[in-house]
Amino acid sequence: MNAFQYLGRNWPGVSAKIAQHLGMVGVAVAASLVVGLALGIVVSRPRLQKVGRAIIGITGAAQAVPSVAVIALMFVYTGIGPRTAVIALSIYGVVPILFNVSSALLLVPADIREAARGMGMTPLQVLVRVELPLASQSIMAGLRTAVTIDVSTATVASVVGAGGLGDIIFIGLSVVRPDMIMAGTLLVASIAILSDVLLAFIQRSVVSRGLSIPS
Amino acid sequence: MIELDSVTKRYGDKTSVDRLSLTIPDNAITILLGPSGCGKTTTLKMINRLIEPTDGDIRIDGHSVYGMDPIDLRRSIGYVIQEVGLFPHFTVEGNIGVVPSLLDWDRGRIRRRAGELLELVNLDPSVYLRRYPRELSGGERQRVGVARALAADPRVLLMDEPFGAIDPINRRSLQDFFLRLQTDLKRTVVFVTHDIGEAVKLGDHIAIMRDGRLVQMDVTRALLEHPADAFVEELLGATRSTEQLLLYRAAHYVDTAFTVMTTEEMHRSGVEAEAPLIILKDGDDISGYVEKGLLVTCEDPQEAVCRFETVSGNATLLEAVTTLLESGRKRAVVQGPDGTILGTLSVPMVAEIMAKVAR
Ligand SMILES: Nc1ncnc2c1ncn2[C@@H]1O[C@H](COP(=O)(O)OP(=O)(O)OP(=O)(O)O)[C@@H](O)[C@H]1O
Ligand SMILES: [Mg+2]
Repeated sequence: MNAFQYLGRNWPGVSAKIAQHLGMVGVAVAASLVVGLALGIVVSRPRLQKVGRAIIGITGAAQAVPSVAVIALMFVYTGIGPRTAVIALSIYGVVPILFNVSSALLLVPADIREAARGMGMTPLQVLVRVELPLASQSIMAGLRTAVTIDVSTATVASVVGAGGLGDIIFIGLSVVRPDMIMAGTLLVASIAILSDVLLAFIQRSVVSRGLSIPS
Repeated sequence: MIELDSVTKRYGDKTSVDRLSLTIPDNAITILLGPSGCGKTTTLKMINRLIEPTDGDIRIDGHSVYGMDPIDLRRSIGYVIQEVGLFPHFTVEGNIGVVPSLLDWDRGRIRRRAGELLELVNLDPSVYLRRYPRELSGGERQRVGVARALAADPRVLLMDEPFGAIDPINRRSLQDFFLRLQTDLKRTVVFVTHDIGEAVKLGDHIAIMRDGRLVQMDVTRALLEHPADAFVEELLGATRSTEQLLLYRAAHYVDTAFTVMTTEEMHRSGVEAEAPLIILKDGDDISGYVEKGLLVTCEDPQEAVCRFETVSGNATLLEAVTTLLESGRKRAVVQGPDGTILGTLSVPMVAEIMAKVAR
């Protein structure tokens, strides 16, 4: 059997695994985004700029921690099941988002921010109308990194009993079925590519065209 | 009227603005002039409360700005910052619409206003409304910066070296344009520059600062003629050459000793022999003048419409002199934008002004 035959014959079971996989990633990414944005906004406030710069250093380094390690570590605390996976993925996904949000917000030129204030924007309006749009390109890039990482790392989550497409690959590994391993791999890769394409599309409508013109 | 009352700003033990008291009159351009670091920007930002002073009070029309909500205050004041500060993620329309949208204008009204303002600053709305700042030249950005400051029709405009980062030719044309604009709009403008030429050309009043203190404030002409001390004198030194004729506005130097009457009134009254200077105005047109009994009119009295050449009050002394020399007349009549007669200018008068200024 090759990978496609395997997929054709086991479609109901496979589609359930896809749904599990997407579910884990979806919840984790949403959580990462909320936490990453919120933290990134807080640490980029002028009064907390020192904290912000420290965070950028820490998150920059933290991206080098292998994702498997985070899952293994979470396993120690929350045991078997999808909960462990989702928490681990959320934590892991926060890192690139927080890094990008805080560095982009800290890079918003002070005179632009002051112009906004000088025209009578409240601090919230400055954030929503000026700072976040200016940082949007970088925020989207962080989100895309998080999604890509989470889609692939969720595969490993199979070992802590979280289900998902990792199950197909790891079962294939234990019973030596190259078709299963290949099928699982193809699916994970396709999801990663498709979600990135979708996000690239969203990015185009979120980020102002005025920012992509070379200055 | 904006009154700064003994305003002080200290950063640690550095005093950026030191007990500055200044009254900025309505509907005129007041220049804050002084060397780099003397506290001009700090002073400007204290007016819209971007910077809170350490001490002193600032009042607009008698009301302390510290009794106002800073957000409302800033929305009511036009602000053009050093280096323009357009928002790169907004189109030109979005940039001009910032304050109106903060004031909850509806979209149609914002668009109409943006179009109107672009026309005012000489940019074709059909071309520019949808452009982004990075698709504009430096001069165009500065114009949009001015348009944005005017969007919600503020009475007060704060301008911090708005034409700073731009080549001399474009700067001159922006200055000319801004003067024409101000002739119609009559806003209360506080304009920061460290370019003495710009100060003399645009300023109705000039306040000279040094090390955070006010050195001298006066109407432009008086300041040029009576510098308070050696510092001012040296600062103004740069303008004292004939070439700077093109910085001085005709309106500031006119001879105001004149009477206006129609040709018929003059003939009827028979005062022409005694009156030192009579300007003849028939309807909207200036027909000529009578000086010490000598009648000067347009070349051909038979001509249906007799138009005596006049000089606009915004014209530079150089333009006035050129007009005088070309027409061969002794005097030029200087008119305001609405046709009111401001006075007259003659070549000897200009020579005298230059002699005074070039001491
Ligand atoms: N936040 C600050 N902290 C400490 N010192 C400051 C601060 N802002 C301004 N200063 C100092 O206050 C003085 C006045 O600054 P300001 O920006 O008002 O100068 P300026 O007259 O506008 O100069 P320029 O023509 O170069 O723009 C300068 O010596 C500057 O170094
Ligand atoms: Mg300055």
